Amino acid sequence: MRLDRLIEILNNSESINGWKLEETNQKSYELYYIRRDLEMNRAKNIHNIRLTVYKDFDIDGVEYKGSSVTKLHPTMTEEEIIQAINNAAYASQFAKVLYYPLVKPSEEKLEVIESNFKEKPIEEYLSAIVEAIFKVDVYEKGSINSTEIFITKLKTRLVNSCGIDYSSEKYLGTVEFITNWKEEKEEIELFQHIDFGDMDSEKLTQEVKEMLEMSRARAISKSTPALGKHRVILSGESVKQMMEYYYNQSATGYVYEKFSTAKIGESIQGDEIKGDKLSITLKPCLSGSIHSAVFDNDGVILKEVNIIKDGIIKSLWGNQRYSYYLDLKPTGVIRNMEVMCGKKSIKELKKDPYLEVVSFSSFQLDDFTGYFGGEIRLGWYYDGNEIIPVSGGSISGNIKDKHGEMYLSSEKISINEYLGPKHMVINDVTVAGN
Amino acid sequence: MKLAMTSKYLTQQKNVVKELVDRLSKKFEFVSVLGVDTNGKNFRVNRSGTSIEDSMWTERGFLVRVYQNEMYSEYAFNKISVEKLDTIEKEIILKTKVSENVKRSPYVKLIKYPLLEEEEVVGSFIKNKDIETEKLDHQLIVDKLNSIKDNAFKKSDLLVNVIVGFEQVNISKIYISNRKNLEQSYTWGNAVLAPIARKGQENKYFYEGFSSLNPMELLDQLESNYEEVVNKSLALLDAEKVTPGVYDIICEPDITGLIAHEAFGHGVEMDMFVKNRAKAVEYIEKPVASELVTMHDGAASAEDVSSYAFDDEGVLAQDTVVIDRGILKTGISDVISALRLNKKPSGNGKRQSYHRKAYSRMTNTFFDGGKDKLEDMIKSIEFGYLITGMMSGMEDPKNWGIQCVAMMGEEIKDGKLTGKYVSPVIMTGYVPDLLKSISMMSEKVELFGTGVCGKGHKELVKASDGGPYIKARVRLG
Repeated sequence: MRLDRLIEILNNSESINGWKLEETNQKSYELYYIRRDLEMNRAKNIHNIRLTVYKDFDIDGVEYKGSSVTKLHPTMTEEEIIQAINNAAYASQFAKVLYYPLVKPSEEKLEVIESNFKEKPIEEYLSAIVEAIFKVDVYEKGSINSTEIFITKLKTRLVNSCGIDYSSEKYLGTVEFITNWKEEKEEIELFQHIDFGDMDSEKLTQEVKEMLEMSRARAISKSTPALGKHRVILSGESVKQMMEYYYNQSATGYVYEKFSTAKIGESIQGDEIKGDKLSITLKPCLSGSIHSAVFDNDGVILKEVNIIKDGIIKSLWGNQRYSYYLDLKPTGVIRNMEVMCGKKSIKELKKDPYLEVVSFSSFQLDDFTGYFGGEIRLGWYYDGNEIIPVSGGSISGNIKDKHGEMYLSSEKISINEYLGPKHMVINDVTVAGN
Repeated sequence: MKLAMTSKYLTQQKNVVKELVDRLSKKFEFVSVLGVDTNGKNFRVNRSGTSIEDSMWTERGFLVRVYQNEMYSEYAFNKISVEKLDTIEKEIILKTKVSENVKRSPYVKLIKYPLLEEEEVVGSFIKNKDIETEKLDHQLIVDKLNSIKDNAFKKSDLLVNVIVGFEQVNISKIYISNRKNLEQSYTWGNAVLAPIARKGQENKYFYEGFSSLNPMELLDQLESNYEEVVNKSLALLDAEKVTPGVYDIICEPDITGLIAHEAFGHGVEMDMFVKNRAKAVEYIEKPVASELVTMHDGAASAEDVSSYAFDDEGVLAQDTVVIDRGILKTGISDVISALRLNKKPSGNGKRQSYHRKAYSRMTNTFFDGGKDKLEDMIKSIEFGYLITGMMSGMEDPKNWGIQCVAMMGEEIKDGKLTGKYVSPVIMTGYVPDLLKSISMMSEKVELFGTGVCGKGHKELVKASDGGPYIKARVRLG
């Protein structure tokens, strides 16, 4: 069914007060390699529609908004679609929350998500990605074990009953690869997953090269010693995850649902900050991020917003509903963040003994409790005399106990939706080892 | 009475799909089409209201696999009709070709696979035909969830939020190839309960999940378990941090399942054998666990969320004994990996969605029960912990490192539970060390199918895991 006919049906439906349609068209190509052998190629062409229907009602003088979300398949007949709308309308009377208004159209001109993937058909980038990955697979004792490559062109259209009709187009690249290395002990492996919204062959090559070099280090690593409480340096992905804690704590949804006690004007790093003070800005579009967007799925047009400045919460971010509840102007849901770097270089931060963890089995940070930790796949332990690669054991702690004194490196890193310090130093982190 | 497939849509499209297979079979040596029509509803209540949405698993579409130039290619789409067959056929021929640029790359070559010789099977597998999603009694479900939430809140002023959820999913699939014509429908349900407690700035929560092939019974399970879950959330407010070290522990069945799944399940997925990513290859027919341990995986090995009749590559469900009394016997496989290894596929080819790739994946993974009583297991420990509350885990099939995170451990001292808790609990170590340290196992086996299983950091599929209570010795941090 064409979208205009669907809109006509929705506008004529008497069982609902409002609606929202999110239409996506996805075209993808995928390659799967084992070593350098192409195991399988895949392609897809998929069209999806997600419908939200709304129903406003009043109970004992309190206004409520009911809503229900349903997926409409492109093969549905008109009869099936009308049935699906009626079913969703029926469900919406039971799914009630306090009233909030739907987003109305803005007169602002929508910006365009920039990407150099626009320059030619996406399938033509596959060979460039393959070359960027395999050109550094040149080592005698180590190699790329397996690789998966995905490239997608995604078109999105958002239409609602208030008159919003926005469209955007973006590109999503993903590479997942495993590297192996064999020295005297058993062969080891490391895993890497990279998302990118721009074609940057040089960066991709560098990522693969770094992973191969880290594999070599893991192959000669020793067991992580039981260090008890120790000074720990986090790098890359785990730093990004630590910053996501502050991102989530600053969300109107978290505050309203009481998962967070954040308040504008208060410190998010506790009462006494001895280390670096955090400054975080949300950016709708960030070079290379697959999460860049010019509007969110409610239809809020996204603008840059500074949520934390020098450790103080300047603004909460959130969607239409929760922002309305907290009487705040909705920022919309912005997925990219830029974190201000610290003043000290990593060289300065590494003067005292440390355990630097550069790869975890799976670093976890619990947004509700603040606990973080993970098993160490590769770390560098400096005891004051020498630096040795270590593996095994784990680190654990609670960000709320540590963020009064944490230090950020002046070196910057860009990881998909994150742009900010590459390293973070935290004192007195529990290190379990042998 | 013969039950019909739940999806009227797939029933209507079967002839069109057969026509497509026939047409493509003139161009390709092997052709198969997987058709999926899944619908489900997710109900969730918390302090701020109720939401009802289509389940994240809801989808409808098709996946074509073809064999050409000695390799397999796939194409996914979700628009099909008799009128569109010419266009679809042309699109499949075009999109399944490996581009010349990729072929010419000096860095890679094409793998040569043998042609898949399927056995001729025709079958219709309809089980637990449950309430159609759209006929679910929304009022009843929402009232029940809200009542549990409200009752939970009454238990303590320290609760700041209570999340209660219920999900029912109806799955219908067809698999049609040159030699197979299969259809199946089945239903599963999940329910969750997560009270969040706060004291000062300290947030703590305990999470309990329930799964069943008879979803409506889950509402009663929520009702009868919410008090215990609330109490655990509150107990965590006073929990201390575990002192890192090696301890005797008893795992509740959900943690036993987490260990079975993460420690060993991922390591015997045979696509890992093909990639030389699995240490397990070196240990076939060798001891990897205590003699008490027998481990199964298979869609036919238990009745839970991953109990299907055929997998996403048209292979009938099986019950695979992975570890038999401590000895590693075999792995679990998808079709392509089995072809490469010259093995028979085990019915473990699963996809996150009709448009994703099939990998070797776990289904229902569990340890058989033993002969011990829980009270004897507790009595046998001088100092250790009873571990419960599955949070997360991560596999390391190549080097057999293990990372399992649990929400809490209750202290055991001089053979008695003390009521003191530690949280969270990170278990790390070397898989065979952990499995060989298992010294006691209780009788009853319980399965848990609330979570999803990823491969690396993506490809989420439903899987269940579990086992009995086990006593083991591990490093906690």
